Parts: sequence; structure tokens; C-alpha cells
Amino acid sequence: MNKNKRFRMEGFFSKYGILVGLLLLIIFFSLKAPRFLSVTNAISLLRQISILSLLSTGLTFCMILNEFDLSIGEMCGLSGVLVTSLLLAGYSQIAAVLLVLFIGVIFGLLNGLIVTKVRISSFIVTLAMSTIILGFNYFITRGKPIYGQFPAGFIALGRGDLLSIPVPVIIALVFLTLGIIFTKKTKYGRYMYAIGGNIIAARYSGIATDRYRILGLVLSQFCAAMGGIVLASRLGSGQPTAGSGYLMNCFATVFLGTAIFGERIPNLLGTFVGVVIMGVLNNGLTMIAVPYYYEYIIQGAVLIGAVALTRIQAKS
Amino acid sequence: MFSLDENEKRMGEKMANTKYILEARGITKTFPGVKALDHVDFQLKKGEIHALVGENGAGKSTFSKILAGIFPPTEGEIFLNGKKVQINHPLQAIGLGIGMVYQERNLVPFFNAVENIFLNQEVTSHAIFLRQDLMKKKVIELMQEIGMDFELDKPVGDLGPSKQQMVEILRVMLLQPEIIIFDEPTSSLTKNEALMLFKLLNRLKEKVGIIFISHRLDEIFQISDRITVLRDGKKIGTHHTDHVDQKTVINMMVAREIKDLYPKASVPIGEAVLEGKNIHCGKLHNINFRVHKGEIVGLYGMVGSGRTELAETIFGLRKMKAGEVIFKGKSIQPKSPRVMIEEGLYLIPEDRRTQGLNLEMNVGENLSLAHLDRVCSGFFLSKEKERKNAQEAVDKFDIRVTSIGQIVSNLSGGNQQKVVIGKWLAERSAALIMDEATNGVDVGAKREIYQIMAELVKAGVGIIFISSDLLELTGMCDRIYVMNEGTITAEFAREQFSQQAILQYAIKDKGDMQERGAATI
Repeated sequence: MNKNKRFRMEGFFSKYGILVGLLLLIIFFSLKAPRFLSVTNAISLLRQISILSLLSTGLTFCMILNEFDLSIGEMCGLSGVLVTSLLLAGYSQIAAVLLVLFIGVIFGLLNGLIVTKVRISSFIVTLAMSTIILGFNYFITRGKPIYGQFPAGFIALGRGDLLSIPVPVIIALVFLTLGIIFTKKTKYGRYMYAIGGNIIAARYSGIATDRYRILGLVLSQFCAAMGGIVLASRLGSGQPTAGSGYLMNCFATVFLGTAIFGERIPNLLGTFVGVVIMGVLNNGLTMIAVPYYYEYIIQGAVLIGAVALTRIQAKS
Repeated sequence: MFSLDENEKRMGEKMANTKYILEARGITKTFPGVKALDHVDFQLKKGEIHALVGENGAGKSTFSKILAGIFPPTEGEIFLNGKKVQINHPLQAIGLGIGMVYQERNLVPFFNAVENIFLNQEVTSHAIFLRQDLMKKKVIELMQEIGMDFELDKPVGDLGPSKQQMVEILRVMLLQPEIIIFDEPTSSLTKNEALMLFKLLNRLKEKVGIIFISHRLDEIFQISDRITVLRDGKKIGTHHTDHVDQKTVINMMVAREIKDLYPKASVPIGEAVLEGKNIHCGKLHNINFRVHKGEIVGLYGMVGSGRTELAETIFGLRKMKAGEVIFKGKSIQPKSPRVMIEEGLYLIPEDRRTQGLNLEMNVGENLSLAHLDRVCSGFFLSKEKERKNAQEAVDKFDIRVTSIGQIVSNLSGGNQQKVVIGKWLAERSAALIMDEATNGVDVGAKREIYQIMAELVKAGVGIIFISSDLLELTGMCDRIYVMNEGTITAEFAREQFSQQAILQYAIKDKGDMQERGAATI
């Protein structure tokens, strides 16, 4: 009887341990910094995490397929400087945004085609591609930020509110919701999970595996491009190095997500919880005035911790 | 019928007897919710090959793992040469002289045989420097002792499965065991290679006692001195191999009597549904075949003869260099599995765990994977339709699951195979290729698979049945093609079936064949 109870407790912790951890974090920060638990801070926190959420959503598509995309951080940076440059060059807002998204898709296609047709692992291809993308970035900016007067519509993407909800939060949630429906409710999502689980069995089942792997890599670049646009709007400028830091955090969120709810495989809802955790950490640490260099140490530790957690769960 | 031999009975009543190098008494093993072994007694003499048989899940693996120290028994005692021992760890088992040759290979592919055999047992000088020469000498000695011969300098990854197995055997022999357990040693070997293994075992048994686990009754009767049958974790009986026949053993294994293992139905043969003309692909050359509606056509050949390659070529997994595939009366380019599945040609692949199933997905998801359109409502998946689809297959093929949501990696081999078959039969196919579909499946499940085949041909499906089991091929097929070195070397009609003749065409070497010209009987 007693043993049974203990077993259930363990099951509870492996399933919801991360949520409990999030709760403890929130309690801790609220005690240390009273302002932490306010509506204003909650909204600003959501605004902060919206870009990470967009990028992580894209990466989750890839990781469901058991592929990596290490070029999302640089794509985020490139799309930020691109969209600002295009606007300054006189392109209309719609045209600039669509063009940048299109370029994201092109890079995703390129990644996907090389991975599937030349058969190089996505880890290597996207690692190399990230440097190539950075090269394009510096080609445009020569390493200098792009400042200027940008139209109000564009600025609203990152700074605006709709019914007192920040627009970037709405964008991130729309991407997330569509993603969840796509991966969990449609046959295409099922195919992606099947490929990630056992690509050979998937091919024998008549699934066009290459097509979906390309799709995954395209979606991650598309989301990264969107993230870059929102980021540029929020910053009001195109910062060449603004995207680089996102990559590590994206991985942390996806792995946190796999450890949550006992799913053990990447899933978008879990990823979003992971995003919130990273957001709470960053926001809280800033509030209690922990020096910025600790943030890096903590972020790295969280990634390792999240992966360790999935391993421990896999054993039990 | 299930009584023990008189001899065993007398012995069982006495105390530990030194006549046996191994004696296990009342071995019981419970896992959460399952009693895998239930008071099993077992004795092994020096110089004998003692076969352990039973359906999947009967407890053979659990028993051998207890002996090998992978986990301890819940209850029971083990005696070695009359002395009671505790085996809590694999290293302890090795120390006690129990070696196990596992079904899976545990070799470092880019190491050569000597390096693999001495892995973690390296001979060194000055405690750190490897003495490759001494190690090689020792291996050669061992090989001569048991009459083995193969290349020692190649990376084992480049050796064939039977050579790799010899490396495994040598690795165990190096530890000078008294008892060697072979877990399904022939599952990856051709008939020829298996024969060589048996020769080796017969020499080995002069020095040791051998426990031999296998699904293939033919082999067991060929090689063993005694047979112990397990069923549902209980020992059913031990017999001298000479005193029983296959049918008796099968009946002990399955509890219910299988009168006719092969339910061959007489079905009118219709027009040709699948034809290959002059197919060339990789090592495949000049392949011509046809399959008619309602026909089961066997494809026999040694591993490496090109059977699987042919199946994969027709199914669109390999690019055809030349030739033509005619399916349902029209010429078709097998570009990809997707195209072929849409046309109505299905393949049940050779390896269910890596090719047939998504092990981490559940039964329902696996069953619908090849036909997701069927379980969709518009753009979205319908859980309800998926459940219904799965339930149908589970009922139809008698797949034993706790629920549709059960993860397939938790099913037994036979039930996993039925999921793979069920996955393909959710929709009506015109032709079906079954590649070793009964491999590693227990007798009861085998019969169920044969029954499914019989029903399919009744419905007009044409089946290509690839198998290494001549008994089941001659039992189920209307015709048999024999493949050898990448081409079809003979064709037999049912009236002409002769296991010897078929085997002969499969193993004959090619030069010999060209002299006489490929025979069509």
C-alpha cells in the first residue's frame, strides 16, 4: 500500500515536476521582489517571451522529426536587419514582411533539400547554414545596427496592444495554437511524429518522409523569420547580433517541454511551458538584480538539467 | 504424455546431484504484475545439448537471463556441480563458468575479431601495452581446438552474420566456461551457416554443457540431446529428443493440439496480378516472375540471395536499373512505397521492430499509420475513427492487447507482428509481399498468420511469401521461386515440391549452375 503510494508520487513528479518547479520559481521571485507578481510585470514578461516562443515553436517542429535546426538564431537576426533595411529602402510594410518570411522559407528549403537529398545530418547542415546566414547579415549591415524612422504598423508588431494584450503575444499564441492543432490533430502532424519515432518504419508505411523533413526545416526557419521581424519591431531597429542568443534558450525550452506531462517527445504545449519558465527565470533574475553573467550560467544549467530530466524519465 | 523420463524423476527426488553441472530448482521470477517463471526445475549434464523451447513469453529468455546473472530469481535455488550458488551479476555468472551467446551481436564493428574477443580481457605487457601477437595466438589456438576458421584481421563489421557469431562464441570460449547458453543462435543465419554452427556445437559439447534456445523445431531435433518445454512460465516436461516427435513438442508448447499447422485452402488461381520482367537492380539481374490472383508464391533463398532486395525493388524502395513491373495489367514504375501503396501493393517488411513499427507509438496509431486518410474527418484526425479502425484489426487478427492505447514495444513478438500485418490489411490490397513474416513468432501466432494468408487469397489477393522456413513454404505456397546470387534459379509447382531439391537450387554455387543452365522444373 505504502509502496503503491510512493510510486504514484514518483509518477506525479515525473509528470508535473517541472510545473511544480515553475510554481516554486514564481513563489521565490514574488517573495524576493514584490513587484514580480503584478499584472504589469506579467504582461511585460509575456511580451519578453513572445519572440522566444516563436522561435521555439519552429524548433519544436524540427525536433518532432528528430532533426535539428541550429540556424534559427541567425535567421532571427538576419530577418530583423532585412525587414528594417527593406522598410528604409521604401518597401511597403506588407511587402517587406512577406519578403522576409519568404527568405526564411527559402533558407529552410535549402536546409531541407541538403539534408534529404545530399543526406547530410541536419545538425551539420544547419550549423554551417547559420554561419552563412550570419555572413549575409554582415553583408547587409557591415556589423552596424540599422536605425531609422519606421512606419507605425510595423512598430505595432512588437510594441502595440490589442485589447490591452501585447500584439507580439497574440502573434506568438496564434503560431503556437495553429502549431498544436497541426501537430496533434492532423494526419500531417502524425506523420511528423511517426518519422521522428522511426523513419524507416515511416518510409515503409508509404509516408513521403523527405517531404515532411523539408517541411519541418522550412517551418522552423519561417518561425525564426517571424520572430526576427517582431524582435526588430520591438527594438525599433535592426540589430545584427540580436538573434544569436536565442538558439541555446530554444533548445532548453524544447527539452523542458519533452520532460513535461510525461510526454517524452517534443510537443508544442510543453515547449510553451518551457518558454514561460525561461521567461520567469530571466525576468525574475533581472528583478532581484542578479548580475547578468549569472543568467548565462543558469540558462546553460537549465538546458543540461532539462535533458537530464528526460533521461531520468526514460529510465523509469 | 507429459511425464518426465524415469531417469529424471528419480534424480529430482534426490539431493543435489553432482551428475549435473547445472541444476535449477523451483526457479520463480515475478515482475510487477507478471509471473514470468513458476517453479521451474532444470538440469544440464556435461556433454549434452539441452534445448529450451516454448512460445514467445513462455519464459525461456527470463530463465537464461537468470542463469547469466542479468537478474536474480525471486525464488529457487541454483546448483553448479552440486554446489549451491547465488548469481547476482553477469560477471559473477562468468566467474562461475556460465557463458551466454546473445541473440543480438555485441561487437565493436570497426575492431577486428581478436580485438573484440579480448575486449576487456586484453593481454598486456607492463600492465598497459597491448600484446596483439599473444592475443592472436590464443585465438588461433581456441579456433583450432574447436575447428573454426575465418579471417581474424578484418573489422568484424565486414564479416557476415555467421562469422560475427563465431567471434561471439570465441569471446565466450575465452572465459573457459562449463556451460554455454545460446539464445536463438540461428535467427540471423542461413541454413548452411546454421549447419556449420551445429557442427561446432557438437564439438563444443565434448567440453561443456550447452543450453540451446530456438524457435525452430527442425533445428532442435537436429541438434539437441534433450528438450525441455516451457509454457506460460511453467515447465511442461523434459524429454530425450529421440523419444519424442515434433508434433508432441508442438502440442506441449501450445497446449491446444495443432492438427494441421498449414491451413492451405484450395483457391481458384486467377489472372496475373503482379509480374516482373527482366528486372535489374544492384546485384539483382534477369529476374522474371509472376503472381496470380489467389496465389501464394514462395520466394526461397539463402540470406544474401537477393530476396529482400527484390521485394524492396518492387515496393519502390530501390531504384530499378532496368526491367518492367506489371501490376494489375498495366506497366508501373515503382518510384516510392507511397505510389505502390496507393496502387494496392503492400509490403510486410522483414524486420518488424525497425521497419514495421513505431515502437513508441500505441497500437491504434501504428495500425492507422499507413492509411491515415481513412481515419480523418476532413483536415483533422478523428480519434473515434482511429479507435474503430484499430478495434476492427484487433478483433480480426486476434491481437492480444490490454487496450488500443498500449505502446507496441510492450507487446510480444507475435502480437507485434500481427499489428504490422493489421496495419497493411486495413485496406484491401491487390498483392502483398510478406518478407519473413513469421520470423521470431511463436507457433500459435504463426498459425494465425497462415490463416490470415488463407483468407486473403480467398479474397483474390496475390501473395509473395518470402521465407527461410522450407516447411512453411511447402506448406502454404502454390509455387515457389528459388533465388540464388541475385537471380531466380528455379521454379517449383506445388506437385513438385521437394525440400531437398529446393534447398539444392538455393545453395548451389553459381558457376555450377551456369554450366547446366538455370533449370525450370
